[in-house]
Amino acid sequence: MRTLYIQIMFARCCLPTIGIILSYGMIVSGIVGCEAKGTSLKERESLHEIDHDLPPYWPSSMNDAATKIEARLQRLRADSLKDEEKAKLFVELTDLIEWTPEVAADTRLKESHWIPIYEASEAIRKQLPLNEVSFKQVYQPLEGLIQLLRKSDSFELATRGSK
Amino acid sequence: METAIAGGVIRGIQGVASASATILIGLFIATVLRFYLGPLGTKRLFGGETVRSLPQSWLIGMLLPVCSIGVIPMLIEMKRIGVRRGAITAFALAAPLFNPLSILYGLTLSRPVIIIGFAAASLLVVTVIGIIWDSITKSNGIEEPVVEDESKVIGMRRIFACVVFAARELAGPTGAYAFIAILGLVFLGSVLPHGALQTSVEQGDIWAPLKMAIIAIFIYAPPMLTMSQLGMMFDHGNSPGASFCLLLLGTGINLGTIVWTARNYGIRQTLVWLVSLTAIVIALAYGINKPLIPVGIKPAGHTHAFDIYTNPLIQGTAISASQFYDLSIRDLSIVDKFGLVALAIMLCFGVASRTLFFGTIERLLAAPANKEDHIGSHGFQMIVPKQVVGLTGLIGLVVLSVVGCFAYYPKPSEVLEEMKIARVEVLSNALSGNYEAALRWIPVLEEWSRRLEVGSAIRRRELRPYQQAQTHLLRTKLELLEHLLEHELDDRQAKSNDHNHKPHSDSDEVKTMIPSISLTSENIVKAYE
Repeated sequence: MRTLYIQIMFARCCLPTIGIILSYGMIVSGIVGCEAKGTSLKERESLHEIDHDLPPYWPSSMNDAATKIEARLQRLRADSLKDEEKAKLFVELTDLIEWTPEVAADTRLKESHWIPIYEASEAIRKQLPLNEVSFKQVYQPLEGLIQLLRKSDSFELATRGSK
Repeated sequence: METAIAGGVIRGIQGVASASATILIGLFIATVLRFYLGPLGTKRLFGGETVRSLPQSWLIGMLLPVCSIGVIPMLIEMKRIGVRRGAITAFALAAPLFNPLSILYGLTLSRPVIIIGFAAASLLVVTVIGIIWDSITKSNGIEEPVVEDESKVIGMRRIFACVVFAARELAGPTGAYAFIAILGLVFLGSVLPHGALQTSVEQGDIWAPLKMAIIAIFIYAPPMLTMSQLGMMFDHGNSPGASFCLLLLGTGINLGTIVWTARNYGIRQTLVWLVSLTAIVIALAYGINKPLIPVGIKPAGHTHAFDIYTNPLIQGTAISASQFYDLSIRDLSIVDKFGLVALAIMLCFGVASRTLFFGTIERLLAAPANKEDHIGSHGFQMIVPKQVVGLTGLIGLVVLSVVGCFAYYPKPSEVLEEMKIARVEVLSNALSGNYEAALRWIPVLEEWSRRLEVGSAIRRRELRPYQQAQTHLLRTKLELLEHLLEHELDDRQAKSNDHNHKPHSDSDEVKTMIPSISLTSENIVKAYE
């Protein structure tokens, strides 16, 4: 009797649910099917083909970050740039400013020496994303950040050398 | 076909394991409501008929460590007692979304303001849905039932009655609704091929929140899992709107709660409730989709956050019994394994008490009042009002979950030791070519790095940017290593099938990652010591 009760209860709950699931499932399968059309697993060479590609201008060191920021600053100062070029440079410069603390953290720099870089980058970040107006406001702080990055890089190299 | 079924079953077992602890907690709270607080006490706990009923209900829900399945026995009890419907729905939605553990975990995932914003928006949705639900049921003239307090027994017999009630619930309605909720995971695991959702919720995809809303109805996710998924979505620059849909519809509800609502309030009203909820969530998701895109994070073009809802097996590959065991049982955490065993014991007792021993147990419970029931109020031998016992139990649970925060997030020195062990496993296995083992340890190390952040923050009342930067850097490197190792495994597989296969040149990259991860680990030790 009790067993029968459980069976009935499960059947009453489960059968309509399975029906709903199956019909609803057709919608989901449709969505995922359409989705997978462009990037189906069979079309991909590997299951793990989609990867984290580092952008080409990802800095390899603090010094490299300083050089890359400086190069973009100099190009932006040139008046002859087209609007698309300028926009691209603003995006790259924004990225470089964002990445600076991470690049500096990935070294043997002590926390006390990392903080000024982080704070300088955070101060500039408040003006982001960069455009014609905000660029003028961050120009000086950016020059300061470049100096700080170069100084920290030589300091870190010297510390590593002494070890 | 074989892969689809096996994959679905594996996802189902994983789902039951992750829900086991919170189901048991939910059953415990339901027994407290039934045998201790009683109808009056429970109604008062959830604000009665006052205006504060809705916020009070979601506040209590946020304090209790339950998931969307664990909440079901409490909903059944609240409905039986006649708690206001708006309060039931507010509690049902809010309780699984957040608990002290998951909020702390969430704060380490991305900028805290995003998680706080998500929490605020979720509570707004919960309140609005509660008001809508109240007005629907009032306009239909549905009155709350008036229930007499049934539990007259006290002492050990009451405790026995509680155990019997919880076990029978598990072997009865709660078990059935939990099974329905898990069916959603089984279904997704069967129909979605391995990794099929990796590119479905990209930042630039206008349909991402809508797609997530549709899929999330099937999803059962405990709060901690959702928090880690939200973190992965933000780290990968996925759609914030889709993340919001996952939180509200994936974690807040499941198929079981929808079926429970339909059976108790009718299909039409449930449809109105579900459509209103989905519409509000989708509208808010589109509203926050652009403003919440984190600055400086380059979209990775994919996410692994939803791999857990797709088939764990690659289509066409044969599965052995040992592989099945590894994926469904061996990889479970010790807490999940323990929960699974406890749940199985309780289920067995529940089935036995509903069938074989039904008569015996009923006789025991209905036996005439014994000496213990007539203890007078003299000295320490006094009858403590059951509301006091019940409230103490609930407050104890909240206190326990706060204490649990400190246990789950140990002090930094202990975590650093655990991280050292995990790091050695990752690096030595990666170097020696035992990539499967290294891949098993990477998530362990990632998890400890998050616990390190929370454990440090709750003890020292601060989490310095340098500390955050180092742990974030470690996770980024671990993810890169994970990808490299997966490539290597793919190459090995392809080479065993085709001897002319041209491998990727990742093995050297793996070697270059080792010193880089070691450097960050050294920095982490210095930062958190």
